[in-house]
Amino acid sequence: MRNRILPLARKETLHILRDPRSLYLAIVLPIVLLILFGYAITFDVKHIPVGIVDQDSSFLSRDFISRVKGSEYLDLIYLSNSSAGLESLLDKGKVKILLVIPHRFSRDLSKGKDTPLQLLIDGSDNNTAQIALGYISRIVQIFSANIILEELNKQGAILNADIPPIDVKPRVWYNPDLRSTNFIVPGLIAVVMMILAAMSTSLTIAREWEIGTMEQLIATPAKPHEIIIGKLMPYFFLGIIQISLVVFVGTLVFNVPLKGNIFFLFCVSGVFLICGLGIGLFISTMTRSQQLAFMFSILLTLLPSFLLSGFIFPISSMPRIIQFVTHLVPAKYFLIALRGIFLKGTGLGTLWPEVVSLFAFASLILLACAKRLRLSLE
Amino acid sequence: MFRTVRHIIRKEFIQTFRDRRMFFPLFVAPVVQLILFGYAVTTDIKHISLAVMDYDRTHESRNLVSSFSQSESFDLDFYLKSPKEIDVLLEKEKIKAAIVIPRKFERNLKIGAQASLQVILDGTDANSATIIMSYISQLIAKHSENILTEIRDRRGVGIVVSKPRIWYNPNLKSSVYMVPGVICLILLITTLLLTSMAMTKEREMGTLEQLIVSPIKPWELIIGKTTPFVFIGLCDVVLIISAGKLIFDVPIRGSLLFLFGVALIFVLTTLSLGLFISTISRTQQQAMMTAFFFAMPAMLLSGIFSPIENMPRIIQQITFLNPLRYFSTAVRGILLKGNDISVLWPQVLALLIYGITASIFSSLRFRKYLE
Repeated sequence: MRNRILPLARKETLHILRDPRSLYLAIVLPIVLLILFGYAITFDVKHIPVGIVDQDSSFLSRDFISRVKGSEYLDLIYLSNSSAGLESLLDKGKVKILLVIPHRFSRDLSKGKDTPLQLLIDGSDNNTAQIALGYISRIVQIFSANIILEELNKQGAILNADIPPIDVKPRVWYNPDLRSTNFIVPGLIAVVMMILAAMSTSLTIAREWEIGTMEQLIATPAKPHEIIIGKLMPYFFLGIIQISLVVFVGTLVFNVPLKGNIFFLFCVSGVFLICGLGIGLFISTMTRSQQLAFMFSILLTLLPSFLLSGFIFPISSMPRIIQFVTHLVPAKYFLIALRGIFLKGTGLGTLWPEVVSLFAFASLILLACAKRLRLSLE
Repeated sequence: MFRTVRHIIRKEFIQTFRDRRMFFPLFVAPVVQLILFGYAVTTDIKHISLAVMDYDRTHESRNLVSSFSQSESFDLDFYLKSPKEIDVLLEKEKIKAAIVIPRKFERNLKIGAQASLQVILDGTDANSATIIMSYISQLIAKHSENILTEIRDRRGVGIVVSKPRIWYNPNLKSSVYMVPGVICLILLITTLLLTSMAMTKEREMGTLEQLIVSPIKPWELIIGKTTPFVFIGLCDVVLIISAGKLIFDVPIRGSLLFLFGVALIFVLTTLSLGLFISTISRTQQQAMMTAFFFAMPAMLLSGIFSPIENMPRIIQQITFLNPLRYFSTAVRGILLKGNDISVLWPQVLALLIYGITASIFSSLRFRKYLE
């Protein structure tokens, strides 16, 4: 039996080697994505462009403006005394927030009355808008607190005027500097593996069908499981190479800590790789056209592993029904395991539910493939 | 002359849809994607599991704890008796953060000294941790303010009340933001990736020679092969916009005609790139990998998923080379803000320059490749 699998694997390896460009791209693409995610793409919101219309121009309003300027999250790029031509600023996307300080700002405050501050927010990017609104509210709250404290001090209280009464002292565990690369690199391994594993296998078998060599393969005495193993083996090794490369670049270039056991990491990756390859194989048993196989693999692997794995968007915030769907996404389990191994150094003792889920998924998908392949052979 | 083109278009349609299941990824998938993006893509965090370790056990500390338990962002799951439990809970990922209220919390507040509060966060997910921290600080700032307002009400001091008004997307729904993004994505996939694969298919199957010896001219072949995918892409745009309107009530503020115009200019660039890739690829797999290699960075650096202002300056400069950046700005502007050409002319101009240069270059290259 073994001597049937090995020639099949050798043939597939030759296919891969005959197309050096795809091979280079398969190896370079994970690195490019790693660099992009590591350097370029951050989901923390900083440098929000802000415009202020100061109709008051008083000591108090300037104090307020200087607080906005001082915030590292907001960039004051427009300051004016009149509100003419303001709306076009939002329209053109030059500013995301417009603050209008009214005429009565300092008069109201000195009389002991509340004063309104108008905020116009470009809500088209809902995340940025929400976070920006939070930043502004904090500035307003601290500003208000200071006014109250100063007033109280004038009236003879003994409070310290520059700090709010409750002070927060955050301490961050596991990732003290809150570097997002620490979080992104393990996640990226999962996403890249899923895409490349599923796409490459789904296209190779569809290709055999399209060219007509699949019939020849069927005519050989090779059994379905032999064909499957033979087809998957080279891609499995390619996947392991890609994982090593990403782990290498991640830990050496981006200084992501690898606290756990590297051998355990590769074992889990191996199981996950089989899930990805299995999905690709399953797609290719459903269709005989490469275009269709490609579209299906984008649909079944790229989007779910980006969106539903918890890679960037927290699963706990999703609607319940979508949370349920995420249980079917193997990348989700792999991601939890990877983050545990990389950042917390956890082992099988804590991660066994994820490992079991991955095993279950891998065996189910391979069984399904063997079954479908047998059907299409007959 | 146009008859030849028409026949190639027909052949391409028949070939694409020979497998009827192609309808599914081409026409059902965009809607599925829209639903996923609309519901799943949210970076705001709800139901953050919290643990509280209250050393003080006074009226004020319970007051603070109850403002956490009342907030819908937090689920106060654990009231701890010993600080050692924090380690275990964080390790097992039962909680995202723990709040430690020290002794003398109430006394410090009463005498007007500062009462401090310790927050321990799981930093594994740096983004979530930042957001959770900002939620906690907002809640505490609010709580501080309440303490102050109580005092203030007794003495009569005015404060600043912010009155936010949110434009374009008043309910801050991510679906509204994502519909334009999905439009860009689908157009990119159908016009760039599928076109390059369709062209390469002829070569892989050996039917390209037959096409070359036939009296079909190169430009007829180009138009005939690419038109179906432009058509499919535009159908998808209509589909996504209507689904967005029906399911998520996404606004259409600008002119749809203008939107289609800009889309046509945009696909000039992607089709040309697809054509170019097909001239340098032998197999569909190779074409797919190469096209994917261009498409991924273009998507990530377009501002569709993460704002460009947050990128490092040098990468921000690079995004000016990305046609998808101009297109996504234009689609968002047209749909959400109702922008017209007077606002969007820089984007349209950039896309035009790209489109014309790319199509001249790639059709020359394609001609040479056929010969």
